[in-house]
Amino acid sequence: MNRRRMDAMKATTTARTTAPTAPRPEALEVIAPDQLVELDVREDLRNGREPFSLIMAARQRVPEGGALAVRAIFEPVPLYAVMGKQGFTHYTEQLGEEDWRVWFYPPAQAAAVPTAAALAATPPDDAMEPGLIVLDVREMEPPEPMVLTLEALETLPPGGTLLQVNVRVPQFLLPLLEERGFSYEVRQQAPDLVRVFIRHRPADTPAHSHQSRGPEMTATRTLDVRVIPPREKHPTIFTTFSALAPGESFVLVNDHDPKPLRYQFEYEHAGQFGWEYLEEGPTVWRVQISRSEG
Amino acid sequence: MRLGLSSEAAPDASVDDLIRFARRRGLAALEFREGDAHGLAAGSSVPAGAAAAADAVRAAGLTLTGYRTHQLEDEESLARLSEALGAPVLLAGGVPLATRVVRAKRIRDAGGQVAIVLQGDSAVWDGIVCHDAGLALAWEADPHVGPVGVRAAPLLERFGDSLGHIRLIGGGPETALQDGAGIGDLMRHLALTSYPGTVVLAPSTPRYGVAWQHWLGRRGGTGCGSSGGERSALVSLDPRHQTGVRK
Repeated sequence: MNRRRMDAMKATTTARTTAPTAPRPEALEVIAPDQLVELDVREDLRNGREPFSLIMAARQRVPEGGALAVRAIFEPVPLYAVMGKQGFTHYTEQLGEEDWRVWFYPPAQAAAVPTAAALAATPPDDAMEPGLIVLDVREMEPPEPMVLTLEALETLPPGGTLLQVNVRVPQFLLPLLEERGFSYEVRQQAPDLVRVFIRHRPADTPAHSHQSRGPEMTATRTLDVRVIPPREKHPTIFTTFSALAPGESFVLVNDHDPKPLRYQFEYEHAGQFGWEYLEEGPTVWRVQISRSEG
Repeated sequence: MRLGLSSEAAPDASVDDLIRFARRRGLAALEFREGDAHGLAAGSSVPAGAAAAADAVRAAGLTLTGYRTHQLEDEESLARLSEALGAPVLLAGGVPLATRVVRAKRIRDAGGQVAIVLQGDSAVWDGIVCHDAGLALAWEADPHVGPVGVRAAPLLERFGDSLGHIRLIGGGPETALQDGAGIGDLMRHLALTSYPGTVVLAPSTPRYGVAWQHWLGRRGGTGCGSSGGERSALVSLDPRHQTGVRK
């Protein structure tokens, strides 16, 4: 965006602002036009499209020291925290009734408070124990943290401790730990820094009572087609099958014996699939469908 | 992943009846909605009744997946109810998100389990706020808001480790009317991301109450007309669904 257009937008702001707006910060004024990325998501929002991925893509285009200007039909308050975590501060203008512009830009001075990253880099004194394995999942996307943690626990030696470093309490991991015979201790050390110490539960220690446990979770790949409209059932099942890697499987749940489906598999994927009944009625049928190796 | 039933599908049913309906349909979980006839509510006399209800649900091999509320009971009572049920309180709409986040933190601090219900167009935005606050999430998958499969993708991608409860509006006897609503896509996403939580079925409108009663086995068991068996009793008033209906 060139300087003339920026000025024009500034003039528009003055003319149409409907809410009191603080003066534009100096740090924003000194940003060069070629360091500014603009994104207008008003049409996306009006049409019910989720603009978050567009905003994140635009953020990736912002050069070092540059700024991102987002136009929206409402004040995108949640975005402040997201961008704040990435080192941006913000300045908001309301240009009209359903017209907001938020500038995200680097603050003039970094805050002098310790960051979660700095805290995480320094394990607490009592974490310095023999056999400690540290798994930092803060940069991972779900379900990777849960999957990697459970995989790491499979080889955790007796007496060992797995320390999971997370940005939040992994609420859905905790019941799985109990089911698998592990005890855990959660320490929230900053708003976005949580350490979870996981150990084998001693044989004489009972699992947490159900009062402290969330709903039981089953992490198997399950495709329950009972809620899928009839015309969409088989296409959904075959699309799911196509997404499997060799050796992977899912459990199909249905309210009748899916024999016609099996015939279709035999016709279209002969020799490429496995079919094993896990439950055969009278109310529910469960079939493990796998993609053959090789 | 497991399918469950909301008490909203049979709002006049007792806990025992809800258990029976769920088992009859091969559903593995129950959600209690505030105000239904199961009799559970936040208050001073909650824990005994709630614990008994929770025990009955578990004894039947079902999972109690949550207590859905949109009222403003005090957080201490809700925390006690959650403890007694061994299940989270699901804070649904009707109250601004910021208020729900504050309440959820108080419930959590008081020892209860809690999740915020994400609804409507702002589900992802609201989810970011709640996720940053370290809160568990539930999601109302409503085909009337948009294709649920499309809407599920960013939620699962961003909040998969915090999302444990999905409420599917429709399903049950309404399934046949939900062609093109993205439910196949939704279930495929859930399968491929190994979604470990529950999908609870709830009616889209009380107008379909009779259809749900048939589906749950509360009607048509004896006498004239029972030979219809498992046939859906759903009659849509939507002209788009009239094709093939006998005139």
